[in-house]
Amino acid sequence: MAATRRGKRGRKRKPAPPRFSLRRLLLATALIGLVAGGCGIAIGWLYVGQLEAVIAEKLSGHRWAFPSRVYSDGFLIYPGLDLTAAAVPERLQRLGYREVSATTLRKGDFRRTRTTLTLFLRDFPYPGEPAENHLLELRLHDDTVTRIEDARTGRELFSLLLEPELVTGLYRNTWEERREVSLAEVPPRLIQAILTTEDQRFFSHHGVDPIGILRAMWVNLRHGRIVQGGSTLTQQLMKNFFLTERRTWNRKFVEAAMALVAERRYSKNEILQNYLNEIYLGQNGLQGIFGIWEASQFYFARTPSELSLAETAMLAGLIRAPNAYSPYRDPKRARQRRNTVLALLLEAGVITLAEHDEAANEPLRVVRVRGSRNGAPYFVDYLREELVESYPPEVLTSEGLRVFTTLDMQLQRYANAAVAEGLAELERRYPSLKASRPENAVQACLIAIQPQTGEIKAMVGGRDYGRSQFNRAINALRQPGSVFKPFVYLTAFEQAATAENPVTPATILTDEPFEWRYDSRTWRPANYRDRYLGRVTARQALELSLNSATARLAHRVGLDPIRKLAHRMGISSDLPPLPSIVLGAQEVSPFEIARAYAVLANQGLRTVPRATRKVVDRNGHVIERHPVEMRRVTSPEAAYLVTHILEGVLDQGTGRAARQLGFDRPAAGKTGTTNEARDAWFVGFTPDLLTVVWVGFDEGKRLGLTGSVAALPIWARFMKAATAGSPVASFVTPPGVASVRIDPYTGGLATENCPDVIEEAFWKGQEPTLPCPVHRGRILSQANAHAAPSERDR
Amino acid sequence: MLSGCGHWSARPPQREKWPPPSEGETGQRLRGAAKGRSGSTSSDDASKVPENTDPGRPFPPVAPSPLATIDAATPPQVAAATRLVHEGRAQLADGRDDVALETLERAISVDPSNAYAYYFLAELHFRQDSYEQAAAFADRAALLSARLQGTWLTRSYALQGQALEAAGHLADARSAYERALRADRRNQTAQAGLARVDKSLGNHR
Repeated sequence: MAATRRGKRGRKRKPAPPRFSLRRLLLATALIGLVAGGCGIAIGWLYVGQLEAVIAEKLSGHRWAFPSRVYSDGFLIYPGLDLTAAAVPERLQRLGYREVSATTLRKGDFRRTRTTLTLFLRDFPYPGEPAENHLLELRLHDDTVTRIEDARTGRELFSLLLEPELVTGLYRNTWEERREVSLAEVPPRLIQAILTTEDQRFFSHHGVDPIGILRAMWVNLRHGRIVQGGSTLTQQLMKNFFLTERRTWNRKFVEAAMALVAERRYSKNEILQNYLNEIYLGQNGLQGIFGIWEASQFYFARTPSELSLAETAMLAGLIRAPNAYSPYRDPKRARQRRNTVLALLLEAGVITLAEHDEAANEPLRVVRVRGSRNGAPYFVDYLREELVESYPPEVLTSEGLRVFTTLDMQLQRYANAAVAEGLAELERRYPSLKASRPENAVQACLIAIQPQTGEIKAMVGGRDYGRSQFNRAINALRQPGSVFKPFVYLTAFEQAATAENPVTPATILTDEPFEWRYDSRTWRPANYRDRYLGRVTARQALELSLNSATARLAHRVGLDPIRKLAHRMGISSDLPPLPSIVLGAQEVSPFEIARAYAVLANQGLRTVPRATRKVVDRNGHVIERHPVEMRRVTSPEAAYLVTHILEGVLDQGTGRAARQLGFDRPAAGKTGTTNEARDAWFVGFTPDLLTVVWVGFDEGKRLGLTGSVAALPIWARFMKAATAGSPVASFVTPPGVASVRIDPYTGGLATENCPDVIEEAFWKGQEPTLPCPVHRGRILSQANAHAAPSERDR
Repeated sequence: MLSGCGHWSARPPQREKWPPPSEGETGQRLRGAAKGRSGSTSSDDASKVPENTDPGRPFPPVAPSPLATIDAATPPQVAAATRLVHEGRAQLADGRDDVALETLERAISVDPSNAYAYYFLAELHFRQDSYEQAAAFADRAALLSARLQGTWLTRSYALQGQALEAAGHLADARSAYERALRADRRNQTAQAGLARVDKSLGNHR
C-alpha cells in the first residue's frame, strides 16, 4: 500500500498525478513502432519468403505433368487403293487436315478435284526419321489412286504413310495436353502480338506497371470498350498459377506482390517463357488448353511457327477471355477480336498496312474440334495394363512417353457402331431383352485382330464404357459352347498325319445319341432340339454344329490331345479333363478365343496379340519395341482343313446368315450358343482379319438367342465396313493339301451322276480313291469342280 | 525443367508365355529360348548368313530384291507390300535393323500373304540371333513361296534349316534342308547344312 503523505494539518493527501513527459511518450511510441515494425518486417520477410518459395517451386521445379500419349497405327496409301472405301477422307478429317480451294497449300491442307488429291503432309516426329516437307499429289480415277508423286519434283512415290491419330493421353485427372516450348521456338511475331495486346512495357516494368494501367485505361477509353488489360504478364502468370477465380482486392494485392517477387528472382525471358507455356487459352470439354503450343494445335492443327499473321492475332486475342472469344462459340466475336489485335499491331508499328489488310480480310479458319473423348477406352485400358508391367504409373502419366499402338481408329469406329447398333436392333426385335435398369442391360463385346501379326485393330469391351469399365473382351469368362468344337476336329486332322485310320473332312461320323463314360460317371451330349442326322461327314458335323457327332469324334481322338492342342493354340484358362469341355462347357475369354482362332487363319502359326508397337520417350528415343512374334503350334495342313470346313459354315452352315446380311467375302467362321442360350458367340475371319463377338448378360441370365441371331449380325456389320477398303483375298492352300471333287454326302469321288459336288481338302495321300457308292457313273475329272451337272465332263 | 519422378527405368515387360511344348507335337519342337549353335564345325560365317543357292557364284549379302516380280498384273496391295520389302531389304543391307523391322512388318500388314516380307523378316531375326523367330518366319515364307517363281522356296527352307540348326533343333533342321533340296537340289546352303547336321546327329548316336 502506497505510503500516504500527510499535509501540514496532518490530514492525508492524495498522491500527485504523474507528470506528463513528452520524452517518455516519444520513447514509448518509438519502442512500439520499433517492435511493430520489426514484427511487420519479420512477417513481411516471412511472407515474401513464402511467396518466393512457392513461386520457385512452380517456376523451377516440377510444374506440369506431361501425360503419355497414345497413338493409333499409321495408314498406308498406295496406288490401287480406293480412298472412299478405305475411309481416307474421314481419316484426314480426324487428323485435322483442312480441305482448301486455294492454289497454295500450307502444311496440313489438302485440295481435292475429280482427278487429283493434293496433300501437304505435316511433319510427324517419327523417332529416328528426319522430318520432311511432303507436298504430294495423288492422281485419282473414280476415287482410286493411280499414281502418287512429289508435287514439287514430279518424282513418283509408291506409298505414303499417313501419320497416326492421337487417341488419348494417359491422364490422371483431367487431360492436360501440354508441350513445353522454349522462347527460341516461338515466332517473334507471336511474342510481339501478345506483348502489344497484353503488356507493351513488359521489358520495362518490374512486375507491376502503373503506367501500363493508365495506358490501358486510355486505350480502352478511346475504343469505347476494354481492348487492353492493365495486368502485366507477370501478374497474369501468378494468377494462372495460384489463384482462384474470385475477384477481390485482396487477391489483386497478392497477385501484385507475387509479381514483384517473381521479377526480382527471375529474368524477363524466364518469365515470358513460362507465360507462353502456361497461359490458359480455352477449353475442350474437360480438357484445358494451356500454352501456345497446345493452342496452336487445338485451333489450327499447326505448330506456333506455322501460324499465319491472322492466326497469330487470333491466338493473342484469346488471352483476355478464351471462352468468350472462342471461334467455336462465337466466330463473329472471335473475328472482331482478332481484327482488334491486328489494329493494335498496326498502331504499334509491328505490321504494315498491307499486312494488316490482308490478315483482317482472311476468313476465320479453325480446324474442327477433335473431341477429347477417348474413342477406344477399352483398348486404352488394356494398353495401360500392358504398359504398367514395364513402367510405373506415375511415369505413364507424367513423363510424356509416346505410345504407338496397333489400333486402327476407323475400324474402332466401325466396331463401336456395330456393337451399339447391333444391341439396339436386338432389343427392338426382342423387347423382352430390354432391362428395366441400364446396369442389367444385355451386353456385347468385340475384338478384332490381324492374325498374321497379332495386332489388335479394334476392341469394344461393353456397350457403355461410361457405365461399366469392365472389359468383357479381355476379362469376361464365359462358356464358348460350339465355338470350341473346331479344336476337336483340328486335333483329329492333326493326328491324321500319322494315324492308320485317319479322320478326314469326308470321314463318315455317326450322329446318334451317345454316352461317354468316365470316372464312373456318364455324360450324354444331346443335339439341338434332340434332332440327329444319323450318318454325316465330318464336314457336315462341324458345319451344322452337331453335338453328338462331335462328341463321338472327341471320344475317338482323346480328351488329352484336345486339351493340349487348345492350350497350344492360346486357350490359357483351365480345361479340366471332362468330356463336356469338347462342347465348350468350360469358361474362357473372348480374347483367348481370338488368339486361338488366329492360328487357323495364320496357317498353324500362333502370334502374340499386341496393342503396343513401340514406346518412345520425350526425347524421341525408342525405349521399347514389340515386334511380331510367332511360333508353329499345329501343322498348316490341319489348320487349312478346319478353315476350309469353317468356310462352309458361312456358305451353307449355321453362319449362312452372314451372306444374307451382305457379307460376301471369302471367310470362315463358327457360331456358338451355350446351354440354355446364356451366351451367343460368333467367331469369323478372312485371311487378313479375325473378329470375335460375344453377346449375353453379365449376370448369366438366359439370353434365349443363338449365336447366329445375336452375335453374327454384329460381326457382319463390323466386317462389311472393316473390309470394304481391302482387296479380296482367299485362304492360301498349303503345299501338303490336295483338293478333290467329292460327293458331300457319301465322301466318295464325285461321279457324273452325283447331284451335288464339292471340292474337299485332304492331306496329300489321304484323298478318297473310290467313287461315290450311291451315284454310280464315270468319275469326274478334277477340273471345273463347281460346274453345273449339265456342263460337266461326259 | 521437369524433374518428374526421379530416375526410372523400364522393367522388362512380361511377355506372353509360350506353353511348354510336348513331345509328339506336329511341326517343329520349339524348346524355349535356347540360342545355342549346333555342335558342328561349320564356320561362323556359314552359320550367320544364308549362302548362295546358285552354284559357283559368290554369295551376295542378302537375298535378291523381289522388285522385279512386280508387273501390271500384280494386285495393288501386293505391289505396295513388295515395294516396302524392297525398301526393307535395303535397310537391312545397310545395317539399319530397327527401321527394316518396321518396314517389313508394315509390308505384312498391307499384304499378309507376302512371302518376301516373311523371308526378309526371317533374315533379320537370324541376324539378331533370334533363331526361333527366324525359323517361324522362314516357315511361313516357305508356305507362301510355293506359288512363286524362282528360288524363293528353296531359299526359305534353307534359311529355316539354318535357323533350326542354330537353335539346336537338329532333326527339324534336317527336315528343312531336305525340303530345300527337294525344291532345288543345287542349293548349296542346304547341301552343306544337311551334311553338317548328319554329322552332328551321327556323332550323337
